[in-house]
Amino acid sequence: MYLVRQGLMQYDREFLTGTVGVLILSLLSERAMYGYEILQEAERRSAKQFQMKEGTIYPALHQMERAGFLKAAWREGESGRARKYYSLTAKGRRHAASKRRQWDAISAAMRAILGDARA
Amino acid sequence: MREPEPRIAELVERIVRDAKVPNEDARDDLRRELLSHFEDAPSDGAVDRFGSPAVVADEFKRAYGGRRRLLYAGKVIASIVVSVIVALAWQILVNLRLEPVSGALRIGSWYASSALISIFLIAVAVLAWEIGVEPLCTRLEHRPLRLLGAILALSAGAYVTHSIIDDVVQPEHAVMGSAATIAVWVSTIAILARFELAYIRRVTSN
Repeated sequence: MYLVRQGLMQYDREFLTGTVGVLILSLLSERAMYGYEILQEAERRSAKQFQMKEGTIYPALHQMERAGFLKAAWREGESGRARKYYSLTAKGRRHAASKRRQWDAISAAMRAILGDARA
Repeated sequence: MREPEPRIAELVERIVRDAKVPNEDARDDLRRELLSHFEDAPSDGAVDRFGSPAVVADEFKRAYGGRRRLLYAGKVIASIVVSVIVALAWQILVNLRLEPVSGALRIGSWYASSALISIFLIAVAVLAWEIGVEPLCTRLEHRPLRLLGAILALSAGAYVTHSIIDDVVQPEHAVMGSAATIAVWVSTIAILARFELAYIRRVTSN
């Protein structure tokens, strides 16, 4: 679904499944954003480690909106052009917090295991 | 919105057509959103960076799949049914009485009203959950001492109240009733969370 590359490094899809949802929820927990803005912000914060195939952000946003985690509204962006802004619903905020906790726990566990394996 | 390049217009139309979005307003909205993406993205290589229209359309088809409503209704109904069963089990447990003479077990007279209160609590919990109000115990779960304090305070309050003002319900039974109420609430939230997780996994894997 997503092709992510940084330089010559291409990440296995199995590492990425589920991360896009967490990424969207995390970014939108800070402020409302439109699709392209989310892509830009993810790329900027990851120092270009994370570059998605741009088109696939939109089905993910629509799916989360239909699941009740996001709401969307068209409004004028900073450029003066109308953009579809997404923001978290209360359900989305709860889901974002839960995902974040799970992610933190999993990544801490993986760091511990991989760190021990290297030792 | 400025007029898109023919190649981009064609790509967007293909996605909107193949995505099988159910109504015209939603299709217009999607078209507008995708075209606005190409207004923001640098034109050089924009179509390549966007990705395969077939893949994107496929993802949209999954997002707009008709089974979602059915799955959602099933989730809510299953949550309510399981919660009610568990709640009634809690209330049976708390309202069991030992007949002093015969030694037989019977369900106490307060079972019916306790069961009704439990069903009311379940309805409140399900409504709060579905509209996104964060249930009290999930806020407290990160503060276990406060949660324990809340439980103890409720139980103590029930005991004291029934000791002072009520000779119908024994204080001990009032405490057990409070414990059952808390158990019903907590188990309902846990059931709702499990069913929601199962629902999310199902809709995102379809």
